[in-house]
Amino acid sequence: MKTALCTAVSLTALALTSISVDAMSLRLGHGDKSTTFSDLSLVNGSPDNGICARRYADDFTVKKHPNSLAEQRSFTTYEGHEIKMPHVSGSLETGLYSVENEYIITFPDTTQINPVRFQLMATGTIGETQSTGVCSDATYRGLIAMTLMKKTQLQ
Amino acid sequence: MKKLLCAAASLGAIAYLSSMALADDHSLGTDNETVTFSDLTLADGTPDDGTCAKRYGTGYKTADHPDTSSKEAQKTTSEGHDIIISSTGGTIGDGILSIENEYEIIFPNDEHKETIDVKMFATGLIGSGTASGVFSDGTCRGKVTIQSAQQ
Repeated sequence: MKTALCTAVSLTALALTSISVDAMSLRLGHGDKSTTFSDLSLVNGSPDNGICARRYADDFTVKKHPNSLAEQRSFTTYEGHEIKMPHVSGSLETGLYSVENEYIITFPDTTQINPVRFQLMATGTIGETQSTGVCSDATYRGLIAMTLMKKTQLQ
Repeated sequence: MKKLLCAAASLGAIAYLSSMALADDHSLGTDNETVTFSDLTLADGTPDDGTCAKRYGTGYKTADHPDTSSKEAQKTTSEGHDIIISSTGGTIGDGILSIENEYEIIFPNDEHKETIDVKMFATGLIGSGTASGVFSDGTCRGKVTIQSAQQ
């Protein structure tokens, strides 16, 4: 389950490579991206009931998947997630960027059939290898950090 | 929820938040926050030549402006800044929010009283009372953290 999220975020990375709109790879750079979550809770701030941590507690690295169709904003992960990216946006200022993306994630876990809508809002400074922000899947929320790993395959 | 909304509101997202019927009118105009800066460099990422440390080396704590009735659009600080919130924007998500604001700031240690346009992108967890992100004035850039004074 946790991988689902990773996927989502990595998609941030992946997705953005071939579309001209504001994307994480465009801002953060091309390559594998390490993603970590913290301060996980329910969306109303109540303590996690355990599921949240199961989904997002572990760090993961996003990598390019050969079956992903970036030009259609449709992505497949090695863990079996199906991810679509219905909305991407962001802003660019002198030396800065912001990203606001939305993903629809279908988890490989058959006990969870319904897709989840995942929001990502992040900021960063141009030329640096880390972007930080917040994320929510409408049930759980938290802080998120994505770090570009040097010397990995271009995506 | 109120605290972070207040923080966002004082940052200038007032119109937006008020329209969501989530904000407490009573607290919107009176809430203030502590703003701190870090990782200062020139806008292209090269080391600071001193300009940025002079402007942002110390943060500030906002206060309602004494000379205006539109408290939400104009602020002063305990350090002597003069701040106009010239543009606001942002998104409220499920438990998370983003802020995109633009300010016109006159810094207290600038003898020429030059107005500096500062753009800020920040994100936060609703109710946490804290938002963090990045800022740039075209010359300097860095990280910024906003803490609600009500915390």
